[in-house]
Amino acid sequence: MAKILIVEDNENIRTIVRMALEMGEHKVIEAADGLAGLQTLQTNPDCALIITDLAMPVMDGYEMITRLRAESAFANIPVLVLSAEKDASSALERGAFRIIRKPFSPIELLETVRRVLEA
Amino acid sequence: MKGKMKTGIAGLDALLDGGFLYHNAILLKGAPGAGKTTLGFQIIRNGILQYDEPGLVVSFDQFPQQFCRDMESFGWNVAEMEAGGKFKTLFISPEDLAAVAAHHESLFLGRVQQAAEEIGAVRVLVDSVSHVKRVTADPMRQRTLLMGAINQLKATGLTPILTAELGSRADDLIDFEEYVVDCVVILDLLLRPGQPLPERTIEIRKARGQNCRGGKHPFKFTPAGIEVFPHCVPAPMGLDDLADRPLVNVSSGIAGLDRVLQGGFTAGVPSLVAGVSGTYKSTMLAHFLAAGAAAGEPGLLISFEEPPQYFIQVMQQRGIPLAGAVQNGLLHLWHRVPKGTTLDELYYQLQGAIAQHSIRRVAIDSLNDFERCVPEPARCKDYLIWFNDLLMRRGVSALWTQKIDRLSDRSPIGDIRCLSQFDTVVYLGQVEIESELRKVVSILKRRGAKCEGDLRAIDCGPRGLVVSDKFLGLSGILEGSPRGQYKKTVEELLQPVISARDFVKMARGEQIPPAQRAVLYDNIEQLLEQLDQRLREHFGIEETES
Repeated sequence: MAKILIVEDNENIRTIVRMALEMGEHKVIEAADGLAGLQTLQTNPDCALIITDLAMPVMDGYEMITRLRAESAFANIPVLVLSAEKDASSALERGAFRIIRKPFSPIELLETVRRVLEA
Repeated sequence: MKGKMKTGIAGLDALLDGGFLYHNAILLKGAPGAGKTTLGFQIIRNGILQYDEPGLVVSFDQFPQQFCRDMESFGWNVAEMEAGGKFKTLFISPEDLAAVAAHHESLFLGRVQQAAEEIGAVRVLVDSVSHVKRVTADPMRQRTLLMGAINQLKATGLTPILTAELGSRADDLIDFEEYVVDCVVILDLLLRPGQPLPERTIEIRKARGQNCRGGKHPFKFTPAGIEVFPHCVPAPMGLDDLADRPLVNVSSGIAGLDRVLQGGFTAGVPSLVAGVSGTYKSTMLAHFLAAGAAAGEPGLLISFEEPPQYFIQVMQQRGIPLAGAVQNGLLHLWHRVPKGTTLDELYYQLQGAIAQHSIRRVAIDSLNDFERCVPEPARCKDYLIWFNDLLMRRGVSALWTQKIDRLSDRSPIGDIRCLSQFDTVVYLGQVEIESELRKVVSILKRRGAKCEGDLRAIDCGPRGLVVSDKFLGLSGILEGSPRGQYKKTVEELLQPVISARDFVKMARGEQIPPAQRAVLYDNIEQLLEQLDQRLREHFGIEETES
């Protein structure tokens, strides 16, 4: 269906997100931090959606979103934030499309992804 | 006359076991400005107005106008009292005393007797007998003079109240006046280092033929005269005391906290909310008082910092309305300044308020400020015991606050003072979890009842405080260094559970192709294995061989 990039330092969460997205027949590519995510995008410019954590080593999700929005090639790719932080609203100010609080429901995640891609 | 001559000053009559004995000569002694004349005149005035006992003032000290002006500063109109026919003032030269010793028909005694007969006087104030020292330098003659005057006043049927100046503090000699009278009352002024105002104390040093309470007791000048605040030492309680009080709970006013406390605070005993600054201690008091008012239980807040109106406004903003309870008489707010308040006075006022307003709940903010009212730090605990004793005997549920400074990374229980004096101790703290400051509440102590003892989040919502989430997967929060992480718990424990549940739901779908269902089962198995591994790691459980 669509190619989706997961940027998440916790391997277990990456696995769960991948499991959920594959049930929606999406193609999933993975990165373990914000910098790796930006590098992965360079070789996968056809990504339709990015799902990212915020608190990560090397480069956090906030910085990655800011850099994405500054680069015209990726500026329009929608970003979903997956975070355990109670108040992650500043990610929206930087250009994230929506915040999903951890722990999340894979069914609801799939539904959100569907709506974002349709939009 | 039989019985006791009441002074009409409640605290002083309490010290005197009801009052002075009639016809006993009473000496009021003190340094200049200690309040001798005021106290003496107040006893005369109260005799006239409260006990229908006419009184006489004999003054060697002052001009009539000056005496009248001084007494009018308390709203006591001397001219009006004289017009009522039960009061007279005589201003006599000290030299007139000289004739007293030798001649019964002295000018002094003649005038006093005449005035006493005219109004039917029972009490007479002689201000001050220190003037006998101006008549003669011979101590023996001074003593004879005073003794003669006192005997003649007593023989006239009067109860003499004499004032005298306090001798030099440099010597420990007791002035001769004290030997020739029946009762000696010492008024003292003491200015301690660091105290802006002098402490005034009253002491019954001698009371011939009657019981009295010894020691120095605080008193103060009020717009209505002198008020005395006896030290109240609680008597031990017997088995019968409090026997009719079952152990029941009163609501804290916070539903979540009541659940943690399994019903609320224990009724009729003192509890404590201790915490660092800015953790909702005062707000908890507001909830406690509001809950009391809602249940028809009159409450009293004693605040040493926040003025009442400010407290009401702040709590209104936090969603805890108190103004209505104040208007309905269900809530009384007292503001006291630590350095200007004596705890004996506060005790006395509290005792009166409990009786007058049927107070059922008292909130005291804070124990720290309460302790600042005690001039001798070693006595802080005594005062706390006395206050809690009063509240317990009256069946009043009390909630104190205590501000603590976290100086160490030990459990806060080590930073809280006087723990043993409280039935329940609630700890309010602030911890950093995942780069976020969270306020937490925990029950550190709960006597006579079970409590959950775990740590919960506390936040201020639109209707006041809300006690909510239990912090899972964390330890060491009370020490200020949480170990185990919220994020980790969410990601490694909760997330696999929730995901497995969702995949089960998906697998149950009728439309799902068999191949996809098989993938879902594989996913569920993988998640359960992951969960099993994490839980074993977390709790240190080794894998068992099957």
